[in-house]
Amino acid sequence: MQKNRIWVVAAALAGAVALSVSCQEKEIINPPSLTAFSFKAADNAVLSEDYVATVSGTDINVALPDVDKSALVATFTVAEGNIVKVNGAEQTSGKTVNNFESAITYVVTDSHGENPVSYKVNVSLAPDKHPALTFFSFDGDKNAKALGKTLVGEIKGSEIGVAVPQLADITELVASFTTGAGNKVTVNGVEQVSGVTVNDFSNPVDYTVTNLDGSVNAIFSVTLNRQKGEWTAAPTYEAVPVHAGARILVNPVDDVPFVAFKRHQPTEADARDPEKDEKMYALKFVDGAWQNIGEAFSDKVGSDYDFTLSPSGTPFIAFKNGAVSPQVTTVMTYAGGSWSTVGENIGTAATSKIHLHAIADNKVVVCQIMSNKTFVGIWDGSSWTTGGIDALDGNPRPYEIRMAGDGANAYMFSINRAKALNDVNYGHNVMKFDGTSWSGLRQNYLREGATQTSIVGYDITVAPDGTVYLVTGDNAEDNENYHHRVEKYNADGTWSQVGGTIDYVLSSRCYSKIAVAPDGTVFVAYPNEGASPKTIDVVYFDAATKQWSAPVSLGNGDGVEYTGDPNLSFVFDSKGKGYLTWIEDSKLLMYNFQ
Amino acid sequence: MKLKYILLLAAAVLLAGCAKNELPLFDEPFVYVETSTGSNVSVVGADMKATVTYYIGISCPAFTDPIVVNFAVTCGSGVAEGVDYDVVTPGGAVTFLPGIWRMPVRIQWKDHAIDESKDNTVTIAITGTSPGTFTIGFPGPAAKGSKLVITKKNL
Repeated sequence: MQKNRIWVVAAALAGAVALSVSCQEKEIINPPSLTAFSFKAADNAVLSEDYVATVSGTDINVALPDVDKSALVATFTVAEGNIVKVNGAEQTSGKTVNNFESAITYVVTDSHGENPVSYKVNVSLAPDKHPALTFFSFDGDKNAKALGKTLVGEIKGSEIGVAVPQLADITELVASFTTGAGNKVTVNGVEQVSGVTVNDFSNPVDYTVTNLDGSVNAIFSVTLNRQKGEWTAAPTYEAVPVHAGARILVNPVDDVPFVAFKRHQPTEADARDPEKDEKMYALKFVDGAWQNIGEAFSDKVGSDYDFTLSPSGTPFIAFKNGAVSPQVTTVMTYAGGSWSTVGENIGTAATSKIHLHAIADNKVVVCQIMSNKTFVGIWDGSSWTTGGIDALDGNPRPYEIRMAGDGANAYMFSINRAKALNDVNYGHNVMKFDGTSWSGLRQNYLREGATQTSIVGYDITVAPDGTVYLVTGDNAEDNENYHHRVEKYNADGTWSQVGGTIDYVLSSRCYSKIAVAPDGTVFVAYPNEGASPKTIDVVYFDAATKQWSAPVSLGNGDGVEYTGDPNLSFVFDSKGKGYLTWIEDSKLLMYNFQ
Repeated sequence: MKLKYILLLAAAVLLAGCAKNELPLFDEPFVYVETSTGSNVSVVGADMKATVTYYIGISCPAFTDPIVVNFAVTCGSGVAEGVDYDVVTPGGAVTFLPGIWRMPVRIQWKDHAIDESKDNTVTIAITGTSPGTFTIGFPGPAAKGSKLVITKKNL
């Protein structure tokens, strides 16, 4: 039995030795061979997609975009057992980093490190798949005579706008631009050299950008917009949350801007202040800073409120009083450093869409909707007279009301709800109160060819010279898209249009504002819902071209966008400084024009 | 059994209904002209002194050879080229290179009062393409976008 075991072990050992010798004899040594090479986006953050090389003999050719190639990871396939080295360093596919800014050689040997084959990796430039102008400017040193300073273009899609001074000579300007490596830039077939080529920019100039192999082109139109002034951001007010409806006005006596607003009640319960939330606040903007001139000085404010300054600079506010039932209108004024009530219960039923204008300290007009009618209150310094407007035909149910005025007259703009009168769809009215009586400047009006007066994109203002300006929206021109249309009321009792319609299709939330500078220039501001991020755009009517300017887009670039109605408010002081405010994330943003 | 017949009947009605609502398929390449906001009509003030950009667009599969679109600018009896407007884009044609789908056509408007009793329109009309495989205007009987009519008005 013991002998048998010995024989079995011996036989097994002999078999193992024989097997081992047999295996050694059959070892396969693959000749060096590199068959595939690529750069994968997953291994290289600078690449947006995978780039596969062609391997031709010992040449490896790959085209990469214009990216930093100093630290790229290659993925390669070699025969089993092959060893790959670059400058003596062993390579691992998908792991090892190399500098591909210039050609490098991959040396592949068999598993014994013998029979080396050198593969040269040639990296060339791939044609730009999205040729574009990525920067555009007129450098001051290259346009010293015409401009004297550098002007940087704003690139929006394929349009490049450059704001230039009003009187600049734009017939011979040298543009500086950047584009992707290998791209060619031409204008009317003439190759452009950044910082060298001269063009006449009296009309828009189209730059064609062509990629390396001509397979993709793009066109960029450069338009120079003559600017009357410049918009700059002012300090944001965020001491307390600001509710919708804040309004900025300028004291006609000393040009100091005032803002009145309702304090916003935060959604979070622990952030609320029941004593102050939803009550009125007032601010002044003095020496570049906001000053509080009234804090939670009212009853709780309902859904609507408005603010005005009399010609002598006395502030008045009107608001839907949320502390009474029904919620009717209360009016307060500021004098001697405190706020006091000058009118309560202006109305007998709940009011809405409340607006007011002070012709004088003792002539304040409140217009509002009550019981589906326009309802007016007039303060004469000691008492209120209330009722409808006799001159307003049929007192149709209003959809919206706005007010404006000066020291002589108050004006009410209103849009009738649906076919409230004579089957006219959302007709609009402009009514004038001269301190004694009302008259109609326009009633139940709908522009010929329009489906309706737009229920966004409207506002009314009175210019420093007393001219009434109106911005409304309609689709009269093509029965399809709604555009802003600005009109003014002439001394002869007619209305005339200011320029063509503004080149912007009204969105459903285009709550616009109109303001007139002391030199008579008309400005319109509106939320550009189509921009990303959303912006507040401002255009002005260019008296030289009789055309609306290209828009200037304002936004603080903090990544926070306004939601819904940004509650624009827009006014000029007597020296031509513009103040434009809006609300974003319960903060009051302001831009100044000068 | 009754349920089976009801289901069959419902399916038949549904199929018949779908067939009736089937819309014609328009998938041929086409070319159109419009304003910057996509309209085929526009109004300009008679006193305007500015250049306005209009656009000719093409809709087709990706292409490698340039496509040429010819256009003509004509006007009514109330306005005249050189007096009321100038065509800035030369040659009556725009060339679309590969990757470009919209080309500008510009008119410089001049301050000149018009007689409102006359035809004060300026029309940009597409007259042909090369290659000639493009439908002029959006596909469909209305051929919307085959021309853009701009009316000059005393505002």
